[in-house]
Amino acid sequence: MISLYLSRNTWLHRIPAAVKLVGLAVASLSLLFVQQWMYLLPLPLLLVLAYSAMGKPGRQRLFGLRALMALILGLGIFQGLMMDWDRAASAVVKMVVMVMFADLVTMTTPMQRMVDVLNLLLIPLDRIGNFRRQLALMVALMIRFIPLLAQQWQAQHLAFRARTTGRSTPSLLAAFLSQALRRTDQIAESIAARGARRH
Amino acid sequence: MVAQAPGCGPALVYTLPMMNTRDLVRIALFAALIAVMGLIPKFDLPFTAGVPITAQTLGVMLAGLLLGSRQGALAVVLFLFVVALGAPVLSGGRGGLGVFFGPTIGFLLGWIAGAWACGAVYERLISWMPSRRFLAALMACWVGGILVIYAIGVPGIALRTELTISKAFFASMVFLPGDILKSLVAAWLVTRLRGGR
Repeated sequence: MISLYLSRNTWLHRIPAAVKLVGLAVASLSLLFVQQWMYLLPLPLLLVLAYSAMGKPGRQRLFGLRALMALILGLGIFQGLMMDWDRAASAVVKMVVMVMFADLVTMTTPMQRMVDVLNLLLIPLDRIGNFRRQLALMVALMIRFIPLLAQQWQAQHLAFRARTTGRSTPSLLAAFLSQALRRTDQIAESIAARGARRH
Repeated sequence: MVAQAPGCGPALVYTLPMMNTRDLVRIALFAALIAVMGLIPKFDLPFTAGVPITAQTLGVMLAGLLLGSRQGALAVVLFLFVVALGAPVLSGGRGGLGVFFGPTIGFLLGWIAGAWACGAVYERLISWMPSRRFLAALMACWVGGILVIYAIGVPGIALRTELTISKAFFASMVFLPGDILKSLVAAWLVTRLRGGR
């Protein structure tokens, strides 16, 4: 499965996932109480260092955040022009720090560890049925469906291009959707045939 | 509660009375569809400073229209759950926990309510005027896919950036033309997919 996790063995990777997630929550709450954004300025620099410590993939990852950063910066400039620059800078710095920190957590935590933590958190929901089992099945199915649907789209797109001259994407979308829905029913039937008696 | 086929080992699926296997698969399909819509048809508007206008909200509208309110919302919840786990399924290959701290988080959470509202409005309207599928779907998309999503997304921007609501609304207007286009496409698709339910 494609994931935003970066396989390395740094000290950040060795921290348990639960600790990182709690740290993220604490950081996001405590930033709300910081009034002077100047004090926060070392944080983005530290985070840049943490990213660079991962080598080239880390730097690429940082570069990958540029669209989101441009959006945050754009909003900040808009806010500065419309209201005042002090609050704009504070909002921009806080958001940049949180986005970078959260992305760092995703990058240094394998998806499986993340799933384990969530699995623990969701135990109380078992009271309302076999919620976790259903969730697990749906996540697995969804992740499997993504490449399947992408392939199906490619195939139908090619067939459509070969047969027509126009570029009417909506009708292609209709064909794509109806085939996907048909396929879903087949998959549901085969899952039912293999395991679930009650449905 | 344990559903087990004889001689098949532990059952793969445990089911709630109101959610059968077909529902689970459909929810997963639409969650995947929202992801795939982020990969394929993408058109960047030149004046949005690199914010991609993608068809992902089209997937959200379709989830509400074709799955109904409850399951449509669940499909979006599933999608966001997988995003949080670290899968790069948001448009432009974004994902992970970072997006939940960005300025557009309100819009992402708004998708849940949006898909729900899309389905709810469509169900009401279609029982009221069964022959006008296009109109019913279009109205549902405008209420659920646009109004509700903006009603949550705009305060979200305001909260994250400390902009006032009206200014945040002004900043979000760049998405509106694309969203209107997508609502037209979604409504047309529903008329083509008879018996999609």
